[in-house]
Amino acid sequence: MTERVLLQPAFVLHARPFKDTSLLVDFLTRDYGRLSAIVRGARSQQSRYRGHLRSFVPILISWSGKSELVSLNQLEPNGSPILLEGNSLLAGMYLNELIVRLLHQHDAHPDIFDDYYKGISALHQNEEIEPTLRRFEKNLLVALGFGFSWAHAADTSNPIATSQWYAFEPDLGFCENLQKFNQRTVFSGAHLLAIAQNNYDNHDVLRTAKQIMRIAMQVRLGNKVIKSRELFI
Amino acid sequence: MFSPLINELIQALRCLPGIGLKTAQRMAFQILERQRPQGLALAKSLQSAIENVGHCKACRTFCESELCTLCSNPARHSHQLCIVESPTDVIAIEQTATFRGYYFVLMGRLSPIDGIGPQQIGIHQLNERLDNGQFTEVIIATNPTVEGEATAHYLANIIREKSISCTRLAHGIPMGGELEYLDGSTLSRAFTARTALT
Repeated sequence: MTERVLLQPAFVLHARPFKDTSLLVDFLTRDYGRLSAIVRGARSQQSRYRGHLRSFVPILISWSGKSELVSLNQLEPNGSPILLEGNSLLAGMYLNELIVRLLHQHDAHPDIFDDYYKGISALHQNEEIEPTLRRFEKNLLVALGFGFSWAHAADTSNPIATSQWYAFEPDLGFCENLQKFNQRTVFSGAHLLAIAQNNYDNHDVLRTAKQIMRIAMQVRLGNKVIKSRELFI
Repeated sequence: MFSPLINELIQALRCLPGIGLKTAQRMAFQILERQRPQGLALAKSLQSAIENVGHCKACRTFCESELCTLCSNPARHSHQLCIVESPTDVIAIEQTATFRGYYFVLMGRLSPIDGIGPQQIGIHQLNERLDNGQFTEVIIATNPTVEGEATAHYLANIIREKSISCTRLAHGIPMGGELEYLDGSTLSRAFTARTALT
Protein backbone atom coordinates (compact mmCIF):
# COMPACT_ATOMS: atom_id res chain seq x y z
CA MET A 1 0.00 0.00 0.00
CA THR A 2 1.15 3.53 -0.70
CA GLU A 3 2.66 5.63 1.99
CA ARG A 4 1.93 9.04 0.60
CA VAL A 5 -0.62 10.07 -2.00
CA LEU A 6 -0.86 13.58 -3.39
CA LEU A 7 -3.88 15.54 -4.60
CA GLN A 8 -6.28 12.73 -5.26
CA PRO A 9 -9.81 13.74 -6.43
CA ALA A 10 -12.28 12.81 -3.71
CA PHE A 11 -15.68 13.35 -2.10
CA VAL A 12 -16.63 13.13 1.55
CA LEU A 13 -19.11 10.30 2.09
CA HIS A 14 -19.48 10.53 5.82
CA ALA A 15 -17.79 12.20 8.76
CA ARG A 16 -18.06 11.56 12.45
CA PRO A 17 -16.48 13.32 15.41
CA PHE A 18 -13.29 11.85 16.83
CA LYS A 19 -11.62 13.09 20.01
CA ASP A 20 -12.08 16.76 20.85
CA THR A 21 -11.50 18.47 17.54
CA SER A 22 -10.83 15.77 14.95
CA LEU A 23 -13.00 13.98 12.45
CA LEU A 24 -13.02 10.43 11.13
CA VAL A 25 -13.94 10.82 7.49
CA ASP A 26 -14.96 8.28 4.86
CA PHE A 27 -13.80 9.50 1.44
CA LEU A 28 -14.63 8.23 -2.01
CA THR A 29 -11.43 8.73 -4.02
CA ARG A 30 -11.03 8.22 -7.74
CA ASP A 31 -8.02 5.91 -7.80
CA TYR A 32 -7.97 4.45 -4.27
CA GLY A 33 -11.64 3.65 -3.73
CA ARG A 34 -13.23 4.19 -0.36
CA LEU A 35 -10.82 5.41 2.26
CA SER A 36 -11.06 6.22 5.98
CA ALA A 37 -8.92 9.06 7.23
CA ILE A 38 -8.36 11.03 10.41
CA VAL A 39 -8.55 14.76 9.85
CA ARG A 40 -6.88 16.35 12.86
CA GLY A 41 -8.26 19.62 14.15
CA ALA A 42 -11.08 19.66 11.59
CA ARG A 43 -13.66 20.75 14.13
CA SER A 44 -11.62 23.49 15.75
CA GLN A 45 -12.49 27.15 15.30
CA GLN A 46 -9.45 27.90 13.16
CA SER A 47 -9.64 24.84 10.93
CA ARG A 48 -8.65 25.49 7.32
CA TYR A 49 -10.91 22.71 6.22
CA ARG A 50 -14.16 24.24 7.43
CA GLY A 51 -16.80 24.25 4.74
CA HIS A 52 -14.76 21.99 2.45
CA LEU A 53 -15.16 18.86 4.51
CA ARG A 54 -18.78 18.20 3.67
CA SER A 55 -20.45 15.79 1.32
CA PHE A 56 -20.91 16.72 -2.34
CA VAL A 57 -17.99 19.16 -2.41
CA PRO A 58 -15.37 18.09 -5.00
CA ILE A 59 -11.96 18.19 -3.32
CA LEU A 60 -8.37 17.10 -3.82
CA ILE A 61 -6.82 15.34 -0.84
CA SER A 62 -3.33 14.24 0.13
CA TRP A 63 -2.76 11.67 2.82
CA SER A 64 -0.09 9.50 4.36
CA GLY A 65 -0.13 6.27 6.28
CA LYS A 66 0.13 2.56 5.75
CA SER A 67 -2.65 1.20 7.91
CA GLU A 68 -6.41 0.95 7.30
CA LEU A 69 -6.79 4.42 8.74
CA VAL A 70 -4.64 7.05 7.06
CA SER A 71 -4.16 10.64 8.13
CA LEU A 72 -5.04 13.57 5.94
CA ASN A 73 -2.30 16.09 5.20
CA GLN A 74 -3.84 18.47 2.75
CA LEU A 75 -7.18 19.40 1.25
CA GLU A 76 -8.01 21.72 -1.63
CA PRO A 77 -11.28 22.56 -3.34
CA ASN A 78 -11.57 21.02 -6.81
CA GLY A 79 -14.34 22.80 -8.69
CA SER A 80 -17.45 24.47 -7.40
CA PRO A 81 -19.33 22.87 -4.52
CA ILE A 82 -22.53 21.01 -5.32
CA LEU A 83 -25.18 22.34 -2.95
CA LEU A 84 -28.00 19.83 -2.81
CA GLU A 85 -31.28 20.82 -1.20
CA GLY A 86 -34.53 19.17 -0.27
CA ASN A 87 -35.25 15.79 -1.80
CA SER A 88 -32.09 15.97 -3.94
CA LEU A 89 -30.11 16.14 -0.69
CA LEU A 90 -31.87 13.04 0.66
CA ALA A 91 -31.18 11.27 -2.66
CA GLY A 92 -27.52 12.27 -2.39
CA MET A 93 -27.36 10.80 1.11
CA TYR A 94 -28.87 7.61 -0.27
CA LEU A 95 -26.03 7.37 -2.82
CA ASN A 96 -23.49 7.94 -0.03
CA GLU A 97 -25.03 5.20 2.08
CA LEU A 98 -25.07 2.76 -0.85
CA ILE A 99 -21.38 3.34 -1.49
CA VAL A 100 -20.41 3.04 2.18
CA ARG A 101 -22.34 -0.22 2.50
CA LEU A 102 -21.34 -1.84 -0.80
CA LEU A 103 -17.86 -0.65 -1.70
CA HIS A 104 -14.97 -2.25 0.15
CA GLN A 105 -12.16 -0.08 1.45
CA HIS A 106 -9.22 0.49 -0.91
CA ASP A 107 -11.11 -1.11 -3.78
CA ALA A 108 -10.36 1.28 -6.65
CA HIS A 109 -13.26 2.06 -8.98
CA PRO A 110 -12.69 5.18 -11.11
CA ASP A 111 -15.93 4.37 -12.95
CA ILE A 112 -17.97 4.53 -9.73
CA PHE A 113 -16.30 7.83 -8.87
CA ASP A 114 -17.24 9.29 -12.26
CA ASP A 115 -20.80 7.96 -12.02
CA TYR A 116 -21.13 9.41 -8.55
CA TYR A 117 -19.91 12.81 -9.75
CA LYS A 118 -22.35 12.68 -12.65
CA GLY A 119 -25.17 11.52 -10.40
CA ILE A 120 -24.88 14.28 -7.83
CA SER A 121 -24.37 16.88 -10.58
CA ALA A 122 -27.64 15.67 -12.14
CA LEU A 123 -29.36 15.95 -8.76
CA HIS A 124 -27.99 19.45 -8.41
CA GLN A 125 -29.38 20.47 -11.79
CA ASN A 126 -32.78 19.38 -10.56
CA GLU A 127 -33.04 16.54 -12.98
CA GLU A 128 -35.62 14.01 -11.94
CA ILE A 129 -34.41 12.15 -8.90
CA GLU A 130 -35.62 8.61 -9.53
CA PRO A 131 -34.11 8.07 -13.01
CA THR A 132 -30.81 9.46 -11.70
CA LEU A 133 -30.81 7.00 -8.80
CA ARG A 134 -31.73 4.06 -11.04
CA ARG A 135 -28.95 4.89 -13.54
CA PHE A 136 -26.44 5.07 -10.70
CA GLU A 137 -27.60 1.79 -9.15
CA LYS A 138 -27.45 0.03 -12.50
CA ASN A 139 -23.89 1.20 -13.16
CA LEU A 140 -22.87 0.43 -9.58
CA LEU A 141 -23.93 -3.22 -9.92
CA VAL A 142 -21.91 -3.55 -13.11
CA ALA A 143 -18.85 -1.88 -11.59
CA LEU A 144 -18.97 -4.15 -8.53
CA GLY A 145 -19.13 -7.21 -10.77
CA PHE A 146 -22.76 -8.01 -10.08
CA GLY A 147 -24.09 -6.87 -13.46
CA PHE A 148 -26.52 -8.87 -15.57
CA SER A 149 -27.78 -8.60 -19.10
CA TRP A 150 -30.82 -6.43 -19.79
CA ALA A 151 -30.96 -7.50 -23.43
CA HIS A 152 -30.79 -11.30 -23.27
CA ALA A 153 -32.56 -13.89 -21.16
CA ALA A 154 -30.12 -15.60 -18.79
CA ASP A 155 -31.45 -19.14 -19.11
CA THR A 156 -32.02 -19.35 -22.89
CA SER A 157 -29.78 -16.53 -24.23
CA ASN A 158 -32.67 -15.40 -26.41
CA PRO A 159 -32.98 -11.65 -26.89
CA ILE A 160 -35.50 -10.08 -24.48
CA ALA A 161 -38.81 -9.73 -26.35
CA THR A 162 -41.16 -6.84 -25.73
CA SER A 163 -44.26 -9.03 -25.44
CA GLN A 164 -42.70 -11.61 -23.11
CA TRP A 165 -42.63 -11.76 -19.26
CA TYR A 166 -39.49 -12.59 -17.29
CA ALA A 167 -38.57 -13.75 -13.81
CA PHE A 168 -35.63 -12.06 -12.07
CA GLU A 169 -32.81 -14.03 -10.45
CA PRO A 170 -30.24 -11.62 -8.93
CA ASP A 171 -27.33 -13.99 -9.58
CA LEU A 172 -28.27 -14.77 -13.18
CA GLY A 173 -30.46 -12.09 -14.65
CA PHE A 174 -33.82 -12.33 -16.35
CA CYS A 175 -35.19 -15.78 -17.08
CA GLU A 176 -37.76 -16.92 -19.59
CA ASN A 177 -38.61 -20.14 -17.82
CA LEU A 178 -41.16 -18.87 -15.30
CA GLN A 179 -41.89 -22.39 -13.96
CA LYS A 180 -38.29 -23.19 -13.12
CA PHE A 181 -37.60 -19.82 -11.53
CA ASN A 182 -40.75 -19.67 -9.49
CA GLN A 183 -41.11 -15.99 -8.73
CA ARG A 184 -43.86 -13.95 -7.18
CA THR A 185 -43.24 -11.03 -9.52
CA VAL A 186 -42.55 -11.10 -13.22
CA PHE A 187 -41.34 -8.22 -15.34
CA SER A 188 -42.39 -7.08 -18.79
CA GLY A 189 -39.82 -7.41 -21.58
CA ALA A 190 -40.76 -3.99 -22.91
CA HIS A 191 -39.87 -2.42 -19.55
CA LEU A 192 -36.55 -4.27 -19.38
CA LEU A 193 -35.54 -3.05 -22.84
CA ALA A 194 -36.45 0.52 -21.87
CA ILE A 195 -34.32 0.25 -18.71
CA ALA A 196 -31.45 -1.20 -20.79
CA GLN A 197 -31.45 2.06 -22.75
CA ASN A 198 -31.88 4.18 -19.62
CA ASN A 199 -35.20 5.38 -20.97
CA TYR A 200 -37.34 6.16 -17.92
CA ASP A 201 -39.99 8.40 -19.52
CA ASN A 202 -42.74 5.97 -18.66
CA HIS A 203 -43.85 5.81 -15.01
CA ASP A 204 -44.41 2.05 -15.10
CA VAL A 205 -40.88 1.49 -16.39
CA LEU A 206 -39.58 3.54 -13.47
CA ARG A 207 -41.57 1.44 -11.01
CA THR A 208 -40.29 -1.80 -12.56
CA ALA A 209 -36.71 -0.49 -12.38
CA LYS A 210 -37.17 0.38 -8.71
CA GLN A 211 -38.51 -3.11 -7.89
CA ILE A 212 -35.66 -4.84 -9.71
CA MET A 213 -33.01 -2.64 -8.11
CA ARG A 214 -34.49 -3.21 -4.65
CA ILE A 215 -34.18 -6.97 -5.10
CA ALA A 216 -30.72 -6.79 -6.69
CA MET A 217 -29.36 -4.39 -4.04
CA GLN A 218 -30.79 -6.33 -1.12
CA VAL A 219 -28.98 -9.49 -2.22
CA ARG A 220 -25.65 -7.59 -2.22
CA LEU A 221 -26.41 -5.79 1.04
CA GLY A 222 -27.20 -9.01 2.92
CA ASN A 223 -28.69 -8.07 6.26
CA LYS A 224 -27.61 -4.43 6.10
CA VAL A 225 -30.47 -1.98 5.91
CA ILE A 226 -30.45 1.18 3.82
CA LYS A 227 -31.72 3.67 6.37
CA SER A 228 -31.98 6.61 3.95
CA ARG A 229 -35.12 5.11 2.46
CA GLU A 230 -37.02 5.98 5.64
CA LEU A 231 -36.44 9.67 4.95
CA PHE A 232 -38.45 9.84 1.75
CA ILE A 233 -41.98 10.81 2.69
CA MET B 1 -0.83 -6.69 35.27
CA PHE B 2 -2.51 -4.91 38.19
CA SER B 3 -4.70 -6.35 40.87
CA PRO B 4 -8.25 -7.21 39.73
CA LEU B 5 -9.97 -4.18 41.27
CA ILE B 6 -7.55 -1.74 39.64
CA ASN B 7 -7.91 -3.48 36.30
CA GLU B 8 -11.65 -3.22 36.61
CA LEU B 9 -11.43 0.53 37.29
CA ILE B 10 -9.15 1.06 34.28
CA GLN B 11 -11.47 -0.87 32.01
CA ALA B 12 -14.47 1.07 33.31
CA LEU B 13 -12.79 4.43 32.64
CA ARG B 14 -12.07 3.41 29.07
CA CYS B 15 -15.76 3.52 28.19
CA LEU B 16 -15.48 7.30 27.89
CA PRO B 17 -14.76 8.79 24.44
CA GLY B 18 -11.12 9.64 23.81
CA ILE B 19 -9.86 7.67 26.85
CA GLY B 20 -7.31 5.05 25.88
CA LEU B 21 -5.43 2.56 28.04
CA LYS B 22 -2.67 4.96 29.17
CA THR B 23 -5.03 7.79 30.04
CA ALA B 24 -7.27 5.40 31.95
CA GLN B 25 -4.27 4.15 33.95
CA ARG B 26 -3.23 7.69 34.77
CA MET B 27 -6.75 8.57 35.90
CA ALA B 28 -7.07 5.47 38.05
CA PHE B 29 -3.76 6.07 39.83
CA GLN B 30 -4.49 9.75 40.33
CA ILE B 31 -7.75 8.88 42.09
CA LEU B 32 -6.22 6.13 44.20
CA GLU B 33 -3.11 8.07 45.13
CA ARG B 34 -4.21 11.62 45.67
CA GLN B 35 -7.91 12.15 45.22
CA ARG B 36 -9.78 9.49 47.10
CA PRO B 37 -12.53 11.79 48.52
CA GLN B 38 -13.05 13.38 45.09
CA GLY B 39 -13.17 9.91 43.59
CA LEU B 40 -15.91 8.91 45.97
CA ALA B 41 -17.83 12.08 45.17
CA LEU B 42 -17.47 11.27 41.47
CA ALA B 43 -18.80 7.76 42.03
CA LYS B 44 -21.75 9.11 43.99
CA SER B 45 -22.71 11.77 41.48
CA LEU B 46 -22.31 9.31 38.60
CA GLN B 47 -24.65 6.90 40.32
CA SER B 48 -27.31 9.43 41.22
CA ALA B 49 -27.16 11.11 37.78
CA ILE B 50 -27.60 7.80 35.97
CA GLU B 51 -30.41 6.73 38.28
CA ASN B 52 -32.31 10.00 38.28
CA VAL B 53 -31.66 11.92 35.06
CA GLY B 54 -34.10 11.16 32.29
CA HIS B 55 -35.55 13.06 29.40
CA CYS B 56 -37.92 16.02 29.71
CA LYS B 57 -41.38 14.89 28.67
CA ALA B 58 -41.94 17.94 26.50
CA CYS B 59 -38.59 18.78 24.90
CA ARG B 60 -36.50 15.60 25.34
CA THR B 61 -33.53 17.38 26.89
CA PHE B 62 -31.80 15.80 29.91
CA CYS B 63 -33.39 16.60 33.28
CA GLU B 64 -34.31 14.83 36.52
CA SER B 65 -37.86 16.14 36.85
CA GLU B 66 -40.74 15.40 34.52
CA LEU B 67 -40.44 18.79 32.82
CA CYS B 68 -37.19 20.76 32.52
CA THR B 69 -36.93 24.30 33.90
CA LEU B 70 -37.41 25.86 30.45
CA CYS B 71 -40.51 23.82 29.63
CA SER B 72 -42.12 24.46 33.01
CA ASN B 73 -41.66 28.24 32.76
CA PRO B 74 -45.11 29.68 31.87
CA ALA B 75 -43.65 33.13 31.09
CA ARG B 76 -42.14 32.00 27.79
CA HIS B 77 -43.83 32.66 24.44
CA SER B 78 -46.09 29.69 24.00
CA HIS B 79 -46.57 30.00 20.23
CA GLN B 80 -42.94 29.51 19.15
CA LEU B 81 -41.00 26.25 19.11
CA CYS B 82 -37.32 25.96 18.26
CA ILE B 83 -35.96 22.57 17.18
CA VAL B 84 -32.28 21.95 17.95
CA GLU B 85 -29.93 18.97 17.76
CA SER B 86 -28.49 18.84 21.26
CA PRO B 87 -28.85 20.28 24.78
CA THR B 88 -25.71 22.37 24.24
CA ASP B 89 -27.49 24.14 21.36
CA VAL B 90 -30.26 25.15 23.78
CA ILE B 91 -27.66 26.73 26.06
CA ALA B 92 -26.00 28.53 23.13
CA ILE B 93 -29.33 30.01 22.02
CA GLU B 94 -30.38 30.89 25.58
CA GLN B 95 -27.16 32.86 26.05
CA THR B 96 -28.10 35.16 23.17
CA ALA B 97 -31.42 35.98 24.91
CA THR B 98 -33.11 36.56 21.54
CA PHE B 99 -35.51 33.63 21.64
CA ARG B 100 -38.23 33.41 24.29
CA GLY B 101 -40.24 30.40 23.09
CA TYR B 102 -39.97 26.71 23.86
CA TYR B 103 -37.49 24.11 22.59
CA PHE B 104 -37.50 20.61 21.22
CA VAL B 105 -34.21 18.70 21.38
CA LEU B 106 -33.72 15.96 18.77
CA MET B 107 -30.75 14.44 20.63
CA GLY B 108 -28.99 13.91 17.32
CA ARG B 109 -29.66 14.37 13.63
CA LEU B 110 -30.83 12.16 10.82
CA SER B 111 -27.75 10.22 9.79
CA PRO B 112 -28.62 7.06 7.86
CA ILE B 113 -25.03 5.82 7.72
CA ASP B 114 -24.89 5.86 11.53
CA GLY B 115 -28.28 4.13 11.67
CA ILE B 116 -30.12 7.19 13.00
CA GLY B 117 -33.53 7.54 11.39
CA PRO B 118 -36.74 9.42 12.22
CA GLN B 119 -37.55 7.07 15.13
CA GLN B 120 -34.29 7.84 16.91
CA ILE B 121 -34.75 11.62 16.84
CA GLY B 122 -38.12 11.41 18.57
CA ILE B 123 -40.36 12.19 15.63
CA HIS B 124 -43.41 10.74 17.41
CA GLN B 125 -42.96 13.02 20.39
CA LEU B 126 -42.53 16.01 18.11
CA ASN B 127 -45.70 15.10 16.23
CA GLU B 128 -47.66 14.90 19.49
CA ARG B 129 -46.29 18.22 20.63
CA LEU B 130 -47.20 19.93 17.34
CA ASP B 131 -50.65 18.36 17.24
CA ASN B 132 -51.85 20.08 20.40
CA GLY B 133 -52.16 23.27 18.34
CA GLN B 134 -50.20 25.53 20.69
CA PHE B 135 -47.54 26.59 18.22
CA THR B 136 -47.93 29.00 15.29
CA GLU B 137 -44.25 29.04 14.31
CA VAL B 138 -41.58 26.37 14.35
CA ILE B 139 -37.96 27.48 13.98
CA ILE B 140 -35.62 24.74 12.75
CA ALA B 141 -32.16 25.36 14.17
CA THR B 142 -30.28 22.20 13.17
CA ASN B 143 -26.62 22.61 12.21
CA PRO B 144 -25.78 23.61 8.62
CA THR B 145 -24.07 20.26 8.00
CA VAL B 146 -25.28 17.83 5.35
CA GLU B 147 -27.11 15.75 7.98
CA GLY B 148 -28.50 18.85 9.68
CA GLU B 149 -29.87 20.14 6.36
CA ALA B 150 -31.45 16.79 5.59
CA THR B 151 -33.05 16.78 9.04
CA ALA B 152 -34.38 20.30 8.46
CA HIS B 153 -35.87 19.30 5.13
CA TYR B 154 -37.48 16.21 6.60
CA LEU B 155 -38.95 18.15 9.54
CA ALA B 156 -40.16 20.97 7.29
CA ASN B 157 -42.16 18.45 5.22
CA ILE B 158 -43.90 17.21 8.36
CA ILE B 159 -44.52 20.66 9.81
CA ARG B 160 -45.89 22.09 6.56
CA GLU B 161 -48.53 19.35 6.44
CA LYS B 162 -49.84 20.59 9.76
CA SER B 163 -50.14 24.14 8.32
CA ILE B 164 -47.80 25.61 10.92
CA SER B 165 -45.39 28.31 9.75
CA CYS B 166 -41.89 26.90 9.52
CA THR B 167 -38.64 28.87 9.42
CA ARG B 168 -34.95 27.98 9.25
CA LEU B 169 -32.04 29.89 10.76
CA ALA B 170 -30.14 31.97 8.15
CA HIS B 171 -26.70 30.87 6.94
CA GLY B 172 -24.02 33.23 5.80
CA ILE B 173 -20.94 35.22 6.59
CA PRO B 174 -19.96 35.20 10.28
CA MET B 175 -19.80 38.54 12.13
CA GLY B 176 -16.37 40.10 11.73
CA GLY B 177 -15.52 37.63 8.96
CA GLU B 178 -13.68 38.48 5.77
CA LEU B 179 -14.90 37.37 2.35
CA GLU B 180 -11.38 36.61 1.19
CA TYR B 181 -10.99 33.79 3.70
CA LEU B 182 -14.48 32.35 3.41
CA ASP B 183 -15.04 28.92 1.89
CA GLY B 184 -16.97 28.64 -1.38
CA SER B 185 -20.04 26.88 0.03
CA THR B 186 -20.71 29.52 2.67
CA LEU B 187 -20.12 32.37 0.28
CA SER B 188 -22.42 31.02 -2.43
CA ARG B 189 -25.04 30.28 0.25
CA ALA B 190 -24.76 33.85 1.47
CA PHE B 191 -25.28 35.10 -2.08
CA THR B 192 -28.42 33.09 -2.73
CA ALA B 193 -29.89 34.10 0.64
CA ARG B 194 -29.00 37.81 0.36
CA THR B 195 -31.46 40.30 1.88
CA ALA B 196 -32.66 43.69 0.64
CA LEU B 197 -31.32 46.78 2.42
CA THR B 198 -34.13 49.00 3.54
